[in-house]
Amino acid sequence: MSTETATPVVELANVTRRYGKNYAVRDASLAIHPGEVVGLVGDNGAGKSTIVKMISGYIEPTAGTIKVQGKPVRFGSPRQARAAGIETVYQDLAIVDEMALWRNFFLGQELHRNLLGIRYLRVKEMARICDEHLAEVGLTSVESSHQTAATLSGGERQSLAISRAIHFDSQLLVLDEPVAALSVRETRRVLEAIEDLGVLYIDHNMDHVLPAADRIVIMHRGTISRVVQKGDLTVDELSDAVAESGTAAADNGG
Amino acid sequence: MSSVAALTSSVGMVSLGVTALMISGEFDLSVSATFALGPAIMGWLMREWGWHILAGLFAGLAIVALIGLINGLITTYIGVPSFIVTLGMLFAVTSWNRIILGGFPVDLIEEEGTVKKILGADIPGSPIAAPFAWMVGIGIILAFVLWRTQYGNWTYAAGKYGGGVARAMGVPVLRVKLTNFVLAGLLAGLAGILQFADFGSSSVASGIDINLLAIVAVVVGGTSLFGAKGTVIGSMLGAIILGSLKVGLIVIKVPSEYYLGLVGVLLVVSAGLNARVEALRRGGTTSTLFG
Repeated sequence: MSTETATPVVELANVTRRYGKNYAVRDASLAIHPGEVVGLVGDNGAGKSTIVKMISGYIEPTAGTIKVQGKPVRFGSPRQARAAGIETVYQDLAIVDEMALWRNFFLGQELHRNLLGIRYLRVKEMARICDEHLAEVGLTSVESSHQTAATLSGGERQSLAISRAIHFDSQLLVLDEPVAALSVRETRRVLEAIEDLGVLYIDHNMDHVLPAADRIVIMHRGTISRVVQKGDLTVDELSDAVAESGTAAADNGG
Repeated sequence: MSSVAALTSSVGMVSLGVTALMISGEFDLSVSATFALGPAIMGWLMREWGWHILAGLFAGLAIVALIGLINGLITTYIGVPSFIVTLGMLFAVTSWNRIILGGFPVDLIEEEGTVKKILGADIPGSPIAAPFAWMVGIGIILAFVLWRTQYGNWTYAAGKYGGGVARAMGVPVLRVKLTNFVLAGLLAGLAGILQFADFGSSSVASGIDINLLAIVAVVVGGTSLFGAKGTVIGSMLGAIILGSLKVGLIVIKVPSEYYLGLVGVLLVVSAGLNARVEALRRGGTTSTLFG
């Protein structure tokens, strides 16, 4: 693949996360290149969410390095990860239902002007930008960015979060087990829109991951057990591969 | 009208801080004790140490803000639920009030009376007491802050899923909650001091039940107990409804013993209405006995 030569947007180099004697993730290496969609699959407890938490700044690795655009980074908080261009869309922590769409879109990075030390919101500008982006990702059912997020469907909420990542020039978009999988149409729109953005797509459902991903990374008991290129395997074969890699790893003493 | 204003201002002022705090997902049950602590500190410093009224005022406000800060620090950094922390603080501060005042009221004596007038007297040429004007003024400022500033946006977001969404978006959730705890303590103490200036004396019994009455005003005003939703204007209207109810009962000569019972009915009915309106707005997805 031509993207292999470019600097990865985010790279994990021999990353380990340990809790006491237990390894949540052990010696994992993984690179996501610009414009590449990497699927991360595995059973519950395989270490997927630990990888997500390290990339998005909730926890730090106990060993190994995380690199953004080739430079080693240490994230002390989600705010720092976000500032480095990593936008994570959690299954249930993406949107505040009670708040207007534009408030959700700009949350944490509100456009404002300083009046006597008070950060006064530039509401009209934020609403306009939000409207434009919602149209861009095909949220045509939305009448105004002043409506609350409770009015959106599951797929629309994902799209809102993704359009937010695009707007803020993120390097990497992390989709953590989207509850409502994006429809084929939504997926195509998203993939068209991301361009140079890297995407890490975490899901335990192979049906969701396979059509979207360029590469699929299979995890088992904290280690990366196998990497599969797009088109090499069908959904059934992939499911078998996850099960097999599990058996193999277990035979090796896990 | 003037009596409604007088009965509204204390509960109303306390409810302002409580509203912001509840929107950001936390409670403060200690505000009734903080309400009495502000004037206790102020009056005691003036009486025992001969402090100037302004020095007493600012010392009182500093101490009540500190109470809010302690509530906030224990809640956010140690992780004890605010319900428990502020319940503990309610007892601790009540005890402190008794130690300071020793069971006797403290009087507010000022030679010129200027500060006392600004804080508590009727506004010249009107029947409105200053505490009511203070409540409306601070209420409007706080309403604007919540509606149109970054801090307001963060306060609403901090109230959802324990601040999980806001944190993922890089909002400093703990700092936002901490600020709202300080605000709740500060405004409760200020409310107590304004009443002190209005009545001319204060005692350990000042502000009794005001923690719960403020929550009633906030809920009647449409703020969610689960955070992320509510308005300061609604809470002020809730406080005015409570004040009107009290005056209304006096006017129609209903014994005052009935007041708290009616407050209870008002609370449950308005919370029920809010829940139904919310269910309808969401297309009836909330399941209740009636659908």
